[in-house]
Amino acid sequence: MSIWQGIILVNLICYLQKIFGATLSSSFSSIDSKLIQKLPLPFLTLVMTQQLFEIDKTFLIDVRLIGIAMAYFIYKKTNSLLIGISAACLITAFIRQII
Amino acid sequence: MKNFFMNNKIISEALSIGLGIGIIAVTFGLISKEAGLTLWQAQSLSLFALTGASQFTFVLLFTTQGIIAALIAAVLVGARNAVYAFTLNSRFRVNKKTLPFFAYLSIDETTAVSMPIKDNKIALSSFWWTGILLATFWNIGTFIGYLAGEMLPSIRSMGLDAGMGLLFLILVMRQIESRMDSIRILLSLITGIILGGIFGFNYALMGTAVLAMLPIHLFVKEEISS
Repeated sequence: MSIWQGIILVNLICYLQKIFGATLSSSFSSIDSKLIQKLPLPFLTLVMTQQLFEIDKTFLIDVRLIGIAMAYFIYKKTNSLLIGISAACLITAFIRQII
Repeated sequence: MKNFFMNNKIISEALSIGLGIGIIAVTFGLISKEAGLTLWQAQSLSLFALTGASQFTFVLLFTTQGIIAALIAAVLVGARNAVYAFTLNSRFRVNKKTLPFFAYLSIDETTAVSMPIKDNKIALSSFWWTGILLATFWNIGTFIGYLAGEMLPSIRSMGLDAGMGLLFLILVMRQIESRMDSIRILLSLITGIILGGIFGFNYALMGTAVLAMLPIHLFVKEEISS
């Protein structure tokens, strides 16, 4: 299989997965939907875990956790995603510079 | 006036997410180049697949494990988007004309941003803004990364890995509506750390899929009935 064939298949299957999910949902009632709305939470948590600890055959505790903790506090005070993310980047970059 | 401020907040949040993700895409462009992909191959992945984790998986694996193994792994990682699309459309019920584009934008960030918003209209607006800006910046980032990635400072030196960590932490925290949600998050966190840390991300994903399906009847029905 060539790289192009692989890429076309990845593109196609990734899109078909999404369209399949979206189309399938129309056959469920609103009560089912109430239950369904909780489905993404474990997956989102896994993505968060990956971002926080770089879990891929490792479990990495890094200084960015300090930056994240401090920035989360700033986010709670300001309620601004932009300020929170900027603070996390700045604090972590600063800590990495000084150690 | 209330709508104006609400829209401003939605756009500002979507822009923050889009910009952050766009910088991650710079890394994707650079990694693609180093893996030997052409610009059009890297760009086509960003344009059509639009699912960062699957793209990274494919590009990182195909040089070492071969294309078929990379393809299977990328598809597995992207399978959660089906759950997102299913959940999102079961809530928003978009019409048939917009469904193909709606499904295309059904990814981690759009789900996490729109699902906790109670008002359907605002939630859908948030979905579209986040999705469109994210897709735009993701593609621009891939392009820049491929052409000039090595000249830019690394994600770690800019602390952007912390920014992305915080983004997902906030997006997950916003989903908490009850004690059961907290339990679900805690269980997913433990599953992710144990399976991911020992066996790798794909196994953590499978464990999470099982977790997502299993407790839903035990927990959610209790909440609805109570």
